[in-house]
Amino acid sequence: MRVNSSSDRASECVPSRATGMEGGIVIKDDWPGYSLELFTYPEHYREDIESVYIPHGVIMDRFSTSCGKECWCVPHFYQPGRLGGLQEVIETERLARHIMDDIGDHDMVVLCVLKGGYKFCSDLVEFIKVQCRNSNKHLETRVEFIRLKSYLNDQSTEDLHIIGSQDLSVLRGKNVLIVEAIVDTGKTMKALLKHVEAFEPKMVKVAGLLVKRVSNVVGSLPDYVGFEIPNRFVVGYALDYNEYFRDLNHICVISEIGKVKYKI
Amino acid sequence: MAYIQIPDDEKGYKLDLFCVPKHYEEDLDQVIIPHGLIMDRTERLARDIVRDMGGHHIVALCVLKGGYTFFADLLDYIKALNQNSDKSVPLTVDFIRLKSYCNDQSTNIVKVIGGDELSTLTGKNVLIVEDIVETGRTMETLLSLLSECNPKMVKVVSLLVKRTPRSSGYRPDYIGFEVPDSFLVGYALDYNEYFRDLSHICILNENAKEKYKV
Repeated sequence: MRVNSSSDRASECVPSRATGMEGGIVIKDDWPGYSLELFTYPEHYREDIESVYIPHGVIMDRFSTSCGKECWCVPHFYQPGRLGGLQEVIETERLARHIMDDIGDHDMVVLCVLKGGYKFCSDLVEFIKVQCRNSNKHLETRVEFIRLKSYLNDQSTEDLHIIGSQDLSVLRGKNVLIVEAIVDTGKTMKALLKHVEAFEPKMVKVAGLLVKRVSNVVGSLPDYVGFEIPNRFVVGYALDYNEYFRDLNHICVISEIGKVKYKI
Repeated sequence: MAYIQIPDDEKGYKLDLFCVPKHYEEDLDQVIIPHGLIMDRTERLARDIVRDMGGHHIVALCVLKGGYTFFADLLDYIKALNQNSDKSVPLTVDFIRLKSYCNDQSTNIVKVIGGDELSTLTGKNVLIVEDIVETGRTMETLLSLLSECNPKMVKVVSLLVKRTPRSSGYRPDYIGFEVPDSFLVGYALDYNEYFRDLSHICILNENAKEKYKV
């Protein structure tokens, strides 16, 4: 494990898009990521990734919760520099609890944005279930899926393309939690919110695992953020580059070789 | 291919031997497949799948909505195998929804909604991932649809297969558990959106069927 040094701290006093805890863990612009040789990854991606940006275990700890109950395990907390690049926020239970406090009073529909959102959605729904189990609360949670296409190679495109069924009348009168893997300019999210609101849900919240620090921000910040990251093209944990890399556990930065190899 | 057979007269485990959400205690008869057993069986299915299909690019096709829990867990095990050995197989994913109905001629029609162009399956090893197979007719229809795009290979993995007289005789290539024709909930199986927060597979009792009816 890397030893702390001040240059390893990725996230001190950096202007962030967020205000307050809900902004998520902030990763600094010059965070290089971890060397590949420190982790396991599929052999077929050996040349195609540059570094491990956010290890899978860290993503899990960002969600994992103490639930405030004695029977559950203590959250994995990060001391400054313990993992080199992460801010010492971590009351990770806050992510879980915030969601449940805000929308856990009423029947909830989780709207998973495929395909990139599927891992985040699956893991998030799992810990929401754990929350409910530990608080002996019954919360009717449905999961619905919507498929959007908005990236070509590594560039975000203009249009919001909804693939498959557009009928979201199941959302009417419910608390909706949109679960998206990554928010970039916010254009896609803004268009999706408009589409969802037409079906008259009771409340809509957005959970984004990753939010990019970009200059041309269109929409507002998601309500719940896992990590705020620099404007780099990341892959893994269901995030793809032309359908590749979804089978990579960690969030990584793609290499130039990878970009060319899997280009359309 | 081997599978775990849960007999018709399976007693299962009493609820108080496991962690079950309190609000379901009156609704369930017994735990018939504990979550840990599902995970262990899934881990082995992943190994068998990679052994047979790992020579070539796999497209994992998730049948929504029931299939997605099992899909996520199965894929995690496949990915773990991939990242821990010297060789690995590229894996891409896709999601489809099946709408199945009978037309006036009583022919079984399956409509595939969502998903990429079926042409992306040509020449690939396709793995269809399903939570439960009952009559098998939907799966048979889907398979004949897919064969038209000339994949290299198509295999079906289903966590559960029901032992029922209504079965067409179709058997998936990989089966987690063969189960009795009872009303099962938990893990991937919901009942009108309830029981998603139950991690073990259990038998629903009669009162509960009424209670959670739509």
